This record gives sequence, C-alpha cells and structure tokens, in this order.
Amino acid sequence: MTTLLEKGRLGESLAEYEIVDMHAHLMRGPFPWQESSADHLVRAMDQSGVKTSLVSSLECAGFRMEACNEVMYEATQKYPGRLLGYVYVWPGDPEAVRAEVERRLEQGFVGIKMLVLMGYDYTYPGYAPAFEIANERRLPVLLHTYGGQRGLADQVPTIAPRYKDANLVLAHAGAQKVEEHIQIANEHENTYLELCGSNATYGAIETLVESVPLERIVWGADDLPLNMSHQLGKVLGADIPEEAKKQILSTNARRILSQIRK
Amino acid sequence: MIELFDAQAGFGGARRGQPWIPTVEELLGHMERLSISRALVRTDFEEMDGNVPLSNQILYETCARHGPLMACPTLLPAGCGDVPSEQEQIDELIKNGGGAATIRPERDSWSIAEWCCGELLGMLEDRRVPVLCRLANFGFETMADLAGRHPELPMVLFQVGYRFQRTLIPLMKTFSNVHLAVGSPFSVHRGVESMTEQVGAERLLFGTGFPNSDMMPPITMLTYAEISDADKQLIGSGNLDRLIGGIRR
Repeated sequence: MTTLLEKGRLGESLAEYEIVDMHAHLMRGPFPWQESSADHLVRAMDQSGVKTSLVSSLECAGFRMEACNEVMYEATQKYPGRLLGYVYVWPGDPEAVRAEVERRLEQGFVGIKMLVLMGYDYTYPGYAPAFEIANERRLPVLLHTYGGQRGLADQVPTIAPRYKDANLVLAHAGAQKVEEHIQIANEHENTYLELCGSNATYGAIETLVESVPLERIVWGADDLPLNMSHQLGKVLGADIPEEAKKQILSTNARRILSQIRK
Repeated sequence: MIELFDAQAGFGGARRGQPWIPTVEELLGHMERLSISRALVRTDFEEMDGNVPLSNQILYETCARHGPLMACPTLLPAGCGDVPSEQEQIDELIKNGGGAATIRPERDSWSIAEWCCGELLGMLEDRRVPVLCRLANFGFETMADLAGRHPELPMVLFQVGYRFQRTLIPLMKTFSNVHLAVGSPFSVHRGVESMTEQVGAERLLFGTGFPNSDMMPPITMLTYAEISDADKQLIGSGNLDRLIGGIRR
C-alpha cells in the first residue's frame, strides 16, 4: 500500500482521503493574479485532491465585513461542498455583527472567523455576539493565534471557558512558541490546534502530536496567501503514524463539522 | 520520481537559547526518508557561527565522508588579513569539491561596498561560483546592487517569505543572474507556477530549508505544482547541477 508520504513524494492524488482544510481565504494581496480568488483556491485544492476548504473572505479588505462575506457567499454557491464559508467578523458594531452572523448562517455558512490583526482583541465587546451564537450552535471559530503575538496566551484562556460549546480553532499552532499552544490545548477542551505557517517549523507536528490529544489537531493551509501543497507536506512528511495523519487531515475536522447545531 | 538536489540545507550551527544543534546524521536521515538524493550544505543555523574557518573545515571534512553532500562554505572579504586571501578561500572551495559559496554580510559584519567585497565577488564571478544569499543578510536592494555590479556572478536568493512577489519578480526579471531557492518559507500560493511563468523554471532551485524547516513541504509544493515534468526536473536538480557544472575549476 502506498503511504501518504509516498503519494506526496510522487505527486499522486489524495482524493481518497477526503481531506478537509480548516483555514483558507479569499483575498487580494501583494500577489500577481487577476482571476477570481475562489477559482484560484479550488485550483490549488485540485492539485493534490483536497476535498473541502473552510474559507473566510478578506477579498474587499477586512473593514468591509458585509462585502467580504457576500463574496464568500457567491463562492460557496459556485463551489457547493468544496468551499464552506466562515462568517468573517469586523467587530465595530455589535448589532451589525449579530445580524451579519445570523444572516450568513441562514445562507449556509458553517463557522466564524476572527482576526486579531484587525486591531481588536478577541475579548472586545463587538465580538461577543458572534461568540454567543457560536456557543449556541457549537460552531467552529477560527482565530488567528500566532505564538508570541496578541490573541493567544493573553486572550484564549479568557474566551475558551466563557464559550465552552464553541469549538475554537487556533491557527498557526507550532509556527512559533509551540509551548503556548500546547498549554492552552491541554487546559481547554474546546480548543483545536491548526497547523498552517509559511516556515513549516522543523519538528512542530511531531511535538504537537506528542503533547496534546490527537483528536484536537486539525490541518489548514492558509491558502490564499500560502501554498496549499506546501502546507500539506507538513503532515504527509511528519514522522508520525499513518493513522494520525488521516485523523489530522480529515477525521478531526469532520467531527467538528458534525457537532454543529442547526 | 523527480530527482531532488537540495540547495537550501545545512547543519552544525546553533541558535541562542536553543539546545538543539542539528547534526549531519539528522539531515541524512531525513534525506533518505524523503528520497532527496543530494544536498548542497552550509553551516546552519548561522546565528552563532562566529568562527568561519573552523566551520568551513568541519563542513569540508563532513562532506568528504558523505557522498550525497556537497559543501557550500562561507567566504569572507580578506581585507583585515585575519583570514586567508580571497584567492586562497576560493581555491580551497574548489579543492574540496565545493558546489557554491555562501556570503553573509549582515551576519559577518562586512560592507557590500565594492572597496570592501569587490575583490571577493569579482573572483567568484570570474570562476562562476554560485553564491547563496539569505534574504535577511541582504535585502532586495542590496541583491540588486550586487547583481548589477557582478552580472556574471550566479546568485541564489534563499529564505524568502510569501509577501515579496511584487519585489521578487521585478528583481529577477531585471537581473538574469539572480536565482531563487524555493525552500521554506517560500510558501506562496501558486508560487512555483507563477515564478515559472514570470521568470522561467531554469531560474528556480529546489530547497528545503532544513534545519529551520521540515523538509517535506517544498517537495509537495513541487510534486503537485501545475508545471511540466521537465520543468519539475529542472527545479528539482537540473538547475543546480547546471550552475555547479559552470564553475571554472
């Protein structure tokens, strides 16, 4: 039987594994392309056979919440089942946030995305309606949580126990200060570690697998802007059991999605 | 299977506050596991590498013991007289079968002005010795400056992040002697495809980024890329072989 590592080394399709990417974007940025971001993303998924990506849109710049989410909605309509939407939240007006989240969930979005880089801590009151809905519906909430930066060690320990039924997906686990992610994951059962990061920090996957429950590790690519096939290589090449790779690439994400309350 | 020759790897260096010193055995173990046939190796991490002649000696001796490895020693301007002359350093590289040199003006505290490093770079240019340049040691403007002053010097930029395409592409279009190693953190959406389209596959070199990075991600970035098999092979090993083959030994 061909292993995941061997398939990656040969560039063979991984479609049979029904891989779920928990972290993708539609966006413009300092990158030279003209085409639709959604087309670009699906093309990247097709290269290796990634089945589904959970995507948030920053396409219209992050302060234009409704416009960004509208682009995301159109993408989910164009690629049903391939692209699932996170409702992107800009927390300036709590009532607008509540209305936007409720509207987009009605449209079929499956989670919420918050980005501390927009200048608001996750404890900022404007985010509260989104967290409350996520808690009620048991939604995944994707949080930018780079080790050593604002948003992780200073904020997740506050919000995780406050919204115990929300599944908090902590992006960039292992990229830097891996010990912060490990400690938080072990202290808060509603946190999940997502693995994207451009540097592919040496040994991070193995360290996380040794240090936290395996069912709490999920894979994400952060494509766009990162390279999906590059990010996939972290798991394919990791020195961990084959079954652990499958769990990280697919099973764990599917369990999170299955917990969503309609 | 695409043959892989890693242009962006090293071992034997250290970082402050970090006990792990990556060993050649670790590097070779990963290469075997991932079917990487050869690697051009530097002393890495470079952060605490404060004795270049000693590090180069260890590098040469280690490469002599391990067939898949080819040395990429660090060279220095010799103006202070504390290291062998530029000519002697290059002769030593050639004698030891080295495949390239690395220069680190920021790390080793020397100026890129012609009066400081011109003799070194001129001699490397005359011999067509490829020079590996970590972006953090240069910056794009310095790379452009040196590439323009030494147009026959093959320069390989490495450890380039994902945010620089708007600068990187014009740099490589302007200076045909600049190449790019696509090891981590070059995790750029359609990075291999867009660089192949914009500057040509012959300017791209496979690299991993070990010991900073896991070695597999750049492999899958290449094996799954939407480019021809011929271009994949060029990037995987052909281009580095061509550059090394161009050294006037």
